[in-house]
Amino acid sequence: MNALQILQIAAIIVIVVLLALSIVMAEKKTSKKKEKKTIALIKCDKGDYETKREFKSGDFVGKVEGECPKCKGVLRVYAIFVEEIESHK
Amino acid sequence: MDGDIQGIISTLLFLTLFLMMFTNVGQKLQLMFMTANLRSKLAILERMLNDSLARAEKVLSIAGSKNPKRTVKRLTEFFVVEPVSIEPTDIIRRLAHILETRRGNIRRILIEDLGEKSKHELNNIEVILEVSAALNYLYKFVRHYLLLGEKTSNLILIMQLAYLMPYILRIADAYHKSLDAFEKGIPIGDGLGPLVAFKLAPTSPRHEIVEETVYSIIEVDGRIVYVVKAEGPGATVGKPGEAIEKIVEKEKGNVSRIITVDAALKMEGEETGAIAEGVGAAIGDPGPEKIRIERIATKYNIPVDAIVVKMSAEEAIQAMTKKIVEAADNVVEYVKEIIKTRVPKGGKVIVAGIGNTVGIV
Repeated sequence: MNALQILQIAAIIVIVVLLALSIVMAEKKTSKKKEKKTIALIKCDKGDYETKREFKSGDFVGKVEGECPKCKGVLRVYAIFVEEIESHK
Repeated sequence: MDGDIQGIISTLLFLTLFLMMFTNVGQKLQLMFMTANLRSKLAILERMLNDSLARAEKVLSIAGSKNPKRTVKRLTEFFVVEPVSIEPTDIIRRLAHILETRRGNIRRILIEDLGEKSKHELNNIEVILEVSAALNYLYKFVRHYLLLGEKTSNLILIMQLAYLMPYILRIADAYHKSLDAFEKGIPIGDGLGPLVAFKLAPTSPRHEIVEETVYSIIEVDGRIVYVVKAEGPGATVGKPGEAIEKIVEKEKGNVSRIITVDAALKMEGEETGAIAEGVGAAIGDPGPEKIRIERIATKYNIPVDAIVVKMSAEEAIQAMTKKIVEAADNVVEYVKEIIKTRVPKGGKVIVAGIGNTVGIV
């Protein structure tokens, strides 16, 4: 085996390794899937009770949600936000 | 035999190198690869656009549209001619007039098609159509430069577009994902200002002061606070500048401070939800609302504070994240602290929560 042959083999190995690396990197990027949940944070106007539930159609921040189970005050939606739960698939 | 193959490979390598270096074959190949890549990206953009148009048509159909396809076509192709800027006299008034006409025309087209609807419903539909219009523009922009580059074999043009493409796709993806929030009426990142206003005055009555803009009056440690925000829960930014101007005039300039709260674009590397304080009117409108705040503040010598919460462009138009909600809680405390330390007891202060109030009353 002469120098030129060694160079050719080395070039082929480098190309194969680079291709494999780029494929592995792309796989890594797509494997992390994030699940999203929209949450409505419900609080009593007097601040003594707080609960969370999943967002329902028609919800908005400021919507009255009924009576506080603790003090009979007004329960209201105080925030709606998206939470991300990481799951590896 | 070995020597023959080696010779052929060496000759081929040499020939290839020669062709690449001394002819335009290399460029042509580059152009070909880049064009193919751009075409696949354009297909992604097209899928997003078609989906957004279909969703806009569906929303219109549910709202009772007689011809959703036609209305979507009309409104996604709607354009605005900017006022002459080489003659700056009156430019803000001319811009405000043009924007007002645009809003009026879009509203009229929707009412013609849907009949009378609540303003919150119309606001949400309008924003969904605006998102589709933005995607339509991005798609046409990319297609235009791709076809032009191909026609003229302009490698520089294609190259510029290829390097811009990841950024364009990021913006398009953010617009596309924002449709979920607007369809369901979920608050978006830009709703930080209205959320702070809500948290300051959650139970106080809202009074409409100008079109789609409300204020509430609360008391913070002996100071009277006018809390201004767009009227929710429909998707609108209201007219906070005009509202602040009216309140200051109503109080004959007897206002100690104006505090504006808004979402601000973060730089890469900055943390989402980081709070920054500064001076000036924190409002990202094209100009007419901001200048009203600046003019009225200057007229009566009222200091204007700005509090912003950092977020990315994607976060600003997509459903609000927990980090932004937590930042809003911190901003409420921040604003109260400013009021207590910079406004004298018995003094009046205006706090304006700037931004889109979708999903926030």
